[in-house]
Amino acid sequence: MKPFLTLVRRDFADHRGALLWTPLVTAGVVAVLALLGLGSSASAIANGNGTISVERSPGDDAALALALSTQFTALVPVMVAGLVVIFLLAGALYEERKDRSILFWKSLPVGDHATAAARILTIVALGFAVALASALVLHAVVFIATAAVLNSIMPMLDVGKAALLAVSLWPAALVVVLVYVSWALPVYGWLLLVGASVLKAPLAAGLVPLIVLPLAAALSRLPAEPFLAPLSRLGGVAMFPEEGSVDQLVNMERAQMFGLDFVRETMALVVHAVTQPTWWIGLVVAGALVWGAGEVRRRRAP
Amino acid sequence: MSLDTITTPETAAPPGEPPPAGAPAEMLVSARGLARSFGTKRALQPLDFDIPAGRIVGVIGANGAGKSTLLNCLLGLIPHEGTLAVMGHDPATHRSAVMRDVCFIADVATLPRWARIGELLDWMEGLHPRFDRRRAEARINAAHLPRDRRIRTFSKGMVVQLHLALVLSIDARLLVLDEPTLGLDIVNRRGFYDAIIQEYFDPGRSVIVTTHQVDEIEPILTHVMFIRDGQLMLDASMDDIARRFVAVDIPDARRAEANALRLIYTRTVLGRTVGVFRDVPPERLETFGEPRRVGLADLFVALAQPDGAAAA
Repeated sequence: MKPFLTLVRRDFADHRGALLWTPLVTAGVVAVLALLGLGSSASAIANGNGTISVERSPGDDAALALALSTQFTALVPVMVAGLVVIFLLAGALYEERKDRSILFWKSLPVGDHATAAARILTIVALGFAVALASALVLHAVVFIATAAVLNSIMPMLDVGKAALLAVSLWPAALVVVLVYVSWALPVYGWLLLVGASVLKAPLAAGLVPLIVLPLAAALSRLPAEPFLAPLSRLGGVAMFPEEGSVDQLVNMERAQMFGLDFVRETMALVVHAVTQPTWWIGLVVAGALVWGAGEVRRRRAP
Repeated sequence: MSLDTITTPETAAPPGEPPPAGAPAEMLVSARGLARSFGTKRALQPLDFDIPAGRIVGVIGANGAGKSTLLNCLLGLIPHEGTLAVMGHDPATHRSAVMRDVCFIADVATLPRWARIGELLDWMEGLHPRFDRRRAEARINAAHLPRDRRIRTFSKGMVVQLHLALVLSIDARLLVLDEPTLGLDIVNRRGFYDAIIQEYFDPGRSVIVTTHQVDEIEPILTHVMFIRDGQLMLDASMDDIARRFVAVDIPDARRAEANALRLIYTRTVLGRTVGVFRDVPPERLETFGEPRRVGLADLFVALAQPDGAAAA
């Protein structure tokens, strides 16, 4: 008997629609749209009714551009997962009170803190894992289709090299998602705690303070930065070092994006995180908030 | 109203075995000064009581009397004041340990509505060390419950069958039922309690049940606890109640004579007046008519009357 694993399986089943089907459907929709777009463009070019403007970058640059652009398209399910996780966490310890199934779960010999921990682990870990897996498949589909179209009009493109680069980008993408989640964890914990506490509208109750407090601080001429920290973490801003590295990562025109520099920049995110006291404090706060959510679940009348 | 606590020594034994003669009762629940407040409202006054193995205890009270609060404390669903031990553990701090030996049904609508039977069985098997899956499946098959449908598509009767199958497949020592048949028709209500008696109860186990349908559970109770305004009005065995409280028809002409005895409650229905007497020897009441057992509903109403108003 593995109670915690059973809790994870239960929570995944509870949120199967959001955790499994949402990324799969998103990937499917993106794939269809991308294929339709490519097919339309290819058809137009074949009929002499259109053109595709391709930056004639030499060799590796074109290959990496193909790998990166198709991966960016394929990451849509992961971005959607970021939103889904927020919704699910807000309701994770709320919906069971709303439908009164908490009385059934509490009739089993399972602790409230283990339940809270399983909820956040399932939603966050499996939410992003399934989304990443969907994105990987989507990337393969979009890459193959795009490469086939581009190869017909741009014979000098090294598709093999582009494929190798596309594959090599995924470990970096995994690291980026892990770093992002580690920064966002305290906000996730906060949403879980709010969901365990409020009588209604857990999502609004969790998010409104994160938005209103910075505004109120700005209006009252208080330093807004501390109040912006949760949004900064949730939006992924906090994970980037300050010295222009954000630009290096997101600016497609920068040569540093290509080749090993991308790996170096990804590792910079990890180094930046573990060297920031706020990152460690955030992890502790996240643990405390998850524990608090369990404690609220334990103490409040169902 | 004075506290009226009568307890009867009981003996306990492992499930399925008769209690050895003279053996001390194993205490499944023990409360001393058990209390609970919500803000400034005192939902439970300090209560002292014990529930050994081998009892079916009915907790009877009006709405808001504190029945569910009491059960929630016993189940560790809310914190409490005072000392409380359920299966030797404080449920407020060790609910998980308590729930290894205790199971409960709060009402008919607490099963997760999005789940299917197979999933529930998987989770019960993975989460409860005393859950017997084969037993649950046998009962589910006997009830012809559809395994491929979500619980939200089940009728109330089917949900109860399923919940019962799950609960009765747990080798627990204490079963707590809080309005378990709310909203069910009479056939399902009867079937529910029959199953509890036939498939769960034995001298090594106890059942605590609250319901407003007192008449339906009265035949199966061994003990009863009356609660009013968070206070325990009565904690007694059904045998003690039958011995101490008697109902007799009182002719109008002999009303004054009846009042001279310990008449605690009268009720006139269709021109016939029934009186409830307390601690009066049956032979003294036989001059009025044949003494008979007092129904729990009548007894509760009788004891819930303000002092001095009962037999007015």
